[in-house]
Amino acid sequence: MKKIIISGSLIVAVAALVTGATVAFFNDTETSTGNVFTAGSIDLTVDSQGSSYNGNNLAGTNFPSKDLDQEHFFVFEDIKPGDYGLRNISLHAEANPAYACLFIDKKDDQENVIVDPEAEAGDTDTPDGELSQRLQLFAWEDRDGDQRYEPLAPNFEPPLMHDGPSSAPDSFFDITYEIFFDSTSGIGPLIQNNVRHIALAWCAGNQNVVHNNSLGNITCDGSGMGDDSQTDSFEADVVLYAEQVRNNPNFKCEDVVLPQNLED
Amino acid sequence: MVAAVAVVVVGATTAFFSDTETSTGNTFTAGAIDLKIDFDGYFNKRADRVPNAGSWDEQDLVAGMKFFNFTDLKPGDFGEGTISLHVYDNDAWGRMLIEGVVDSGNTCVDPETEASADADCIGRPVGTPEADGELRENLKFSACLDWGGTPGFQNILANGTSNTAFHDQEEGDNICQTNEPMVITEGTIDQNGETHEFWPALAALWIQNCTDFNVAGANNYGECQGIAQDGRLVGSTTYYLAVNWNLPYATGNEAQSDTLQSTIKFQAVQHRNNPSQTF
Repeated sequence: MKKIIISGSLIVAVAALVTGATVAFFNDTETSTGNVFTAGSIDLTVDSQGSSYNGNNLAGTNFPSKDLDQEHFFVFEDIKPGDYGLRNISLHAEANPAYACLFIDKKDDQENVIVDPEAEAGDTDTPDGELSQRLQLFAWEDRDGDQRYEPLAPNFEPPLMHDGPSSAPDSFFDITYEIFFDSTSGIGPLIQNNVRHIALAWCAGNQNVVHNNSLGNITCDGSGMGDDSQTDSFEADVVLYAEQVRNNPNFKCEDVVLPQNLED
Repeated sequence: MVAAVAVVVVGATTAFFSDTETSTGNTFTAGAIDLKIDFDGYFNKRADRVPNAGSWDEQDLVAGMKFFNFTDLKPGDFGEGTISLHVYDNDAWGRMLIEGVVDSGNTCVDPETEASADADCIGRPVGTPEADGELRENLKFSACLDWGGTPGFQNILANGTSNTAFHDQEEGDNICQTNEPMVITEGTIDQNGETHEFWPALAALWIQNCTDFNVAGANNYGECQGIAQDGRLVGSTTYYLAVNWNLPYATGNEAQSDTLQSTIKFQAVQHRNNPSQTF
């Protein structure tokens, strides 16, 4: 019985083959395997050689090149008129050329309590503090990394401010964006393997920048910061944004709409 | 043998007038359905007769011959590849298959870990393996028949030389001019692959453009050459299929570093005795 069953199935198999043979039309197939489309990436990383406060280097404020996580550029809890500081950062485009911009986002001015000197300065009822209006910032490309502003030969270090080469400092209150490298800045985009050093100088009061002197002339005059700022606090995000260069010849920092829900 | 000899002898003895007609050398030779393909590709420029993204002359495809091989795409990138198909001597049914679609994310790069549209990267560490990429969902493809200003394919004669009596400047120029028919409308590649049969499109084009011409599409390399009533590929006609692709500006960071990979097959099977297009 077993043998009979086996031969039965053999017959079926042969029949199927014959059926297949009747539709074996002449044919040809040409195959292109492994067609590939791979997207590139725009990945900005930042490092810092550190920061200084009133001319003194602050230990432990440097960090290696990375995607920013918990790093703060500025943490100062007892600012007084005439205080000044400097933060050095370097930008790296990891994979492809990229434009870069700075944004001051999620600004939060707090009055905290109104202390006596504030009341005497006429600061009585506004819910928001005044500190961001009294803190000024100036950024430039610190090409030789010496943390001095050298606008003339031989370094020709350009300001990285939204209003161009002879920029005055801006208060944090007024800054929405500053142009680091975009299609209008004339100093090129970030290129991979070519680190760009940037210096961020801040001042509590009136910051004065001289552009026609070969050696760094940034001074801080505390008289611009009055008693109405006492005990105020200011918190904000500093956002560094990078965008592809290719297919993007008219990129301007002012056109950027920051993504929602940026992580801290 | 003895019986056979006897018959011959009998024949020789009767000398009737006679005549003999001989058909010598009767032969049966199988025809060939031999599909050959050439290619010109362009990347981020309008076609200008100087391909910058792959090019080869008419041949059978071998391993490593890729129509598309791009490793660093960004939003705003675009390209075009004109694939030309030749079936020599015999009519055939043709189709294109897209198979083995791989939609890989490779690994998560930093911007992907912050992209809400990237389900398998958001919130995860940089370098996490990303099984499901987003490039396939964003990369758009379309195709036209690059037949030029005159319906049909006139430019290449049966022997492979250029048709000097009639040359259509826009035929096979890698540009989909407005009068050239779209045969695949713009869209993404299906995850499970795609099959594009040529005959329904070619038959529709015969009705639109070629009803005054030969139903078999053989028009002596004049108007409507290669466009048959039933949509077959007409033997010894050179067809041009122009494939356009682009990565739209709206593509988000979730597609960064992702890969789309597939196999593209062109098949031809005999037309004669095969009315139901069995491959």
